Amino acid sequence: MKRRDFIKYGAVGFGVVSVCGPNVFASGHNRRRVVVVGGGFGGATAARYIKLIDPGTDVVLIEKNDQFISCPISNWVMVGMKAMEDISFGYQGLKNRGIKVIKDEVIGIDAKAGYVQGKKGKVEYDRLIVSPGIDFRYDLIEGFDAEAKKVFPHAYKAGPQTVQLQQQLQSMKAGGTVLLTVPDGAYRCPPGPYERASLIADFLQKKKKGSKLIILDPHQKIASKGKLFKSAWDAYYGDVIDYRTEEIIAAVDSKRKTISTYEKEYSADVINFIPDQRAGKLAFDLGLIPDKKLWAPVNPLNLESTLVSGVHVIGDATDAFMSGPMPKSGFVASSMGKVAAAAVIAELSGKTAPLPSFANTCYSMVNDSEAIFVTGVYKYDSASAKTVKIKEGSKTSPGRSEYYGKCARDWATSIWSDMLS
Amino acid sequence: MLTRMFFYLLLFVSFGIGTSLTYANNDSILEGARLGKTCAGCHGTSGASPGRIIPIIGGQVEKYLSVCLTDFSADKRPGDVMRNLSKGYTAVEQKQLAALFASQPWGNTPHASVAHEDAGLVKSCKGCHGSEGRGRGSFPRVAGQHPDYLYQSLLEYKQGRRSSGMMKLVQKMDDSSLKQMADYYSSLK
Repeated sequence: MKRRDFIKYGAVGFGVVSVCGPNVFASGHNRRRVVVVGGGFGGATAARYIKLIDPGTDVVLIEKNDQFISCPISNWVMVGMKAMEDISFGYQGLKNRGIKVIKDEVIGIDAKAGYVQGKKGKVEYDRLIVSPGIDFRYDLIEGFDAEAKKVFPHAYKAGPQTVQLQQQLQSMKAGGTVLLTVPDGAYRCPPGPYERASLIADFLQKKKKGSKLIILDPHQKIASKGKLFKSAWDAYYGDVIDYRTEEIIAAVDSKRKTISTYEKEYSADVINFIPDQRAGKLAFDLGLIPDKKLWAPVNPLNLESTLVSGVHVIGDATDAFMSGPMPKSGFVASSMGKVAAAAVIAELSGKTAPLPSFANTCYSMVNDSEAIFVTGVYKYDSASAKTVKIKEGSKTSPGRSEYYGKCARDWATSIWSDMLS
Repeated sequence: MLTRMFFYLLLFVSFGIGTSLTYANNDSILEGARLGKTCAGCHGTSGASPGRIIPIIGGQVEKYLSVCLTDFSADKRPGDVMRNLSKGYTAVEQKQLAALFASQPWGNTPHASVAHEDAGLVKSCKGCHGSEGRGRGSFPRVAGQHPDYLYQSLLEYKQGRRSSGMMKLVQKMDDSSLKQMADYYSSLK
């Protein structure tokens, strides 16, 4: 076992400033250390469950932000059902469990020597778990410059853009037009854009009489919970929603505030452009993405990168062809965090990782009180050496209800607590 | 095999049941721990649900948990996520999950209602649920459960959407009495 008496933090330009304090690892020279990069649903859950499974392992969580801001429920904030502080949480709960939380941005890795390099310093690890999330593919769209990013918020990573879109909706005049684009390819939270559309339509109907919502979707039909969303839209938003399929965005013009498909130019008072996506930049920086690919391939058994050994990749950034046919959801990321935690603890003890078991539970609001849901159960199938979907456990709700809406609220309370408390 | 057993032992300790080694060879619980970590997403870590309507299942009566899973997978309980998810697990796995959560410590609801016992209302509950409402046999613990969940359950029994022999006795009760019963039991520890 390597010597693990301190974290070499602050080595770049600050001298040896032990961010964690000199005593933190003093009694644990020989304790194994797992470093987790990224404090979202995947990373925070992984860090917490490693401590739960084996309190004797040192766990370091490196996160670039002070707070976790939840994407699930951020659509509620956008239309005033919740406030930003309701979906923003610090990492004190994890710190209280003895997890070292370091604010830094990781920029590189030396897998051979076993350390990650941050902007402020480096941290050694015995195993690394990274949860890089997603980034956006603006390069596909003509005219998508820095100005366009300001004018057309994606609001698809909860944070300042959530507030920006909320303010744009609030200040829009009655009778105005909102335009929302749905991403193509694999993207985070497949029902997310449609839940957002539902809540915006509900908001417009109640607060901005006579307004319209245009949805430009590259798919042939609603890509997730389709029948349930369509049924709600038909019942409630016939006069509000103008839903258009097979619409591929080619260009934007931030000065004129227009957005163009190959056939038509659209203008609107508020434009929520949700771009196509790829694994978060971190995954590319760490060499976890093959050339010309967008997502990180992993071993389905323990979620270890097939490109860099000793590094496990979890959450939205994973390639579903390898990790399993799970949607890119917060619940699945949390599920992956638990699988990676169990695998890492087992393997560091020289044992075989237990077979993975994943689940998904995802609620979407169709107005300010009713929800619909989809579930998924995923298990490892030895015959095909893949994680497969268990069809019987993977279905949508029979309809929409206020009861499901209450469950959605509980879902959030519970999963936030299961990752951060 | 030894390898796996050691790992399971770690898992087992992590779920807070390591204080008693009497369960150390209980494969059911250990396998439940492998499968059951995802349940925490909705039911809270170790089944200690922090919500209001999603029930606390950590420390619940084992036979009852088992019946819940079989009833959900047989479509005998109203449709919620459990009606789908339960079908993703075999009968054996359902028992393992029940064993896991039953082995965990019960934590009372943080949302307990302030309520006074109406002797007439809850007299008939005690025979099955126990004098303190802590459950026994295949009858669930109701003491310290979330009041919103208890009320929702009582309404489901009243409306005939959920059935269980004795629970028919709530069918003639008014909703405010059901609410009072739910509040009362939520306040017990």
